Amino acid sequence: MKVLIVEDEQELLDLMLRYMKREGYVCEHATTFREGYKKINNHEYDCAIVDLNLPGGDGLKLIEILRKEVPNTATIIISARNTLGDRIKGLEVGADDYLTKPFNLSELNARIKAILRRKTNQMSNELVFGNLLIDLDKRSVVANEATLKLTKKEFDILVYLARNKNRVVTKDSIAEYLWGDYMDDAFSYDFIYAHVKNLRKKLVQNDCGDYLKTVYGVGYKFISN
Amino acid sequence: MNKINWFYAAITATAIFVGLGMARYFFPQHFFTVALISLIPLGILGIGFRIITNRRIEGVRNQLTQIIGTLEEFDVDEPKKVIFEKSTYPLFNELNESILALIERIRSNYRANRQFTQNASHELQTPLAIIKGHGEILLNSPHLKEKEITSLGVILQNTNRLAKLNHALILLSKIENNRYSDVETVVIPQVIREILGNFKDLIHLQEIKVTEDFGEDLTVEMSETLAEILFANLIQNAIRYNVEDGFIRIQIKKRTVTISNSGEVLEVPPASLFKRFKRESTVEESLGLGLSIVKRICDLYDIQITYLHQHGLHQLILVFP
Repeated sequence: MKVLIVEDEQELLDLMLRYMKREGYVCEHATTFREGYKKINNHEYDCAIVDLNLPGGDGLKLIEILRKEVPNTATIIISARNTLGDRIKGLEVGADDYLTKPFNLSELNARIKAILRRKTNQMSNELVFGNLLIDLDKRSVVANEATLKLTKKEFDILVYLARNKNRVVTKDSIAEYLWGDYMDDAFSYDFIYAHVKNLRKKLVQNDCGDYLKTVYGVGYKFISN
Repeated sequence: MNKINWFYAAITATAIFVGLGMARYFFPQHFFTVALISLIPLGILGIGFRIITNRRIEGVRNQLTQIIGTLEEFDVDEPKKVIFEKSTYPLFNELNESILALIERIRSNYRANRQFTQNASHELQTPLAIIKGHGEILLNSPHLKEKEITSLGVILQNTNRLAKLNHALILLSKIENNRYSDVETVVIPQVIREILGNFKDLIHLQEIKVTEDFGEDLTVEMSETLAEILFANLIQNAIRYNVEDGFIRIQIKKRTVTISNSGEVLEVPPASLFKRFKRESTVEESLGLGLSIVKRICDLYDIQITYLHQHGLHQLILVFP
């Protein structure tokens, strides 16, 4: 899976490269509009992560070109511009998703996987961990051959954790993934706590409780071995 | 001007008095004739003088009213150019010029200030993103001890708070800069129902009873985004500052929306709640910006907002124009 990251902020670029490489993607990068333009003209990527404010041009142009020339490429805009108008413009040009800075890397990761699954056939529609099977199309979970009855939020949390398997996922990032910027932190923590508690209960009932670990005071971790 | 008038009147009176005295002394028999003959031109002169002075005063007053009118219309936010009519009095022209210079200075300071707030919040985004990202990567390095993970958790949590605070500041400055000028017909009950739906789980979690009493299909001409932000903030507060087994009542009557909820007794005087960063200290981690955002939106659309509180009953009353 080949990923192109176009971002002029070196630190942020390094971070994303490190994270993506650990996820097993082949990564390339560009730091200016021209560089990005050359890369998308000469190579094909499965996914492009594009910042909007680039030296030498607007990242939206790159998305537009990609949409026209290589429509299969999954595109994500990452930008500090966060008005509804900017978001709509980005999606209208053809981006598959729009993330506002500062975002969580685990969220970027989860969203990329979701888009890649939608757009390419290379990603499976099922996440399988031993005796736990998550069907993303049917939105169903089977644990030890018993189908779990999960609420929408419980399912979303499970998928989010599973997509970031073996990593600590913070409560904040879960909150943002589920509700966007809409909610206040203190507020959403109780909320997440209640949902995870219910989710864990259902997993434990079917002997799948070992997957979900609490990292005290920080968040949760989905362990798969 | 009045003083000068009195001064002239005094001189005229003295002249008349002295003239009459002399007429009486030199022409005792023809006193009345002389008096009449000398008084008529004097009277005419006096009246003429008054008319001329009054006209001048009127002119000056008109120009002053004009200047005041122009100044009252002046809005530092509007790019409209301030124009004064040219006056026949050089002094007024000078005054106008110095007012224009002052306005220019105020405007450029205001612009700079605004730009600074906007830039500052904007520039904060990238460093915050970098801190957040590194924190996340560090959190997942293999040999961390529990204490280190907890510390990292605190760092990440507070970075997130900073980021949200920054978002709220950007939002405030955007409202102040009139970036939400798109106006559409917003159906208020619809907005409220949508938000209540979003918070359904949380309301359920705290076992809060919600009653809707929407008599009217209240519609308002405003930005839909701001309407959502307005009610999301108010309803969020009604949930957050509520007590277990409490209630929320939302009533719409004509153009008045009343949100009442049960809650703890307030420690902060209600009026100060709308200022930036004031918050009720018993609840941890609230940003304290929510109500100033609410206030800003209300100011923008001339919505009257009142807050009442007695014996644990909180009431927020919005009157739409």
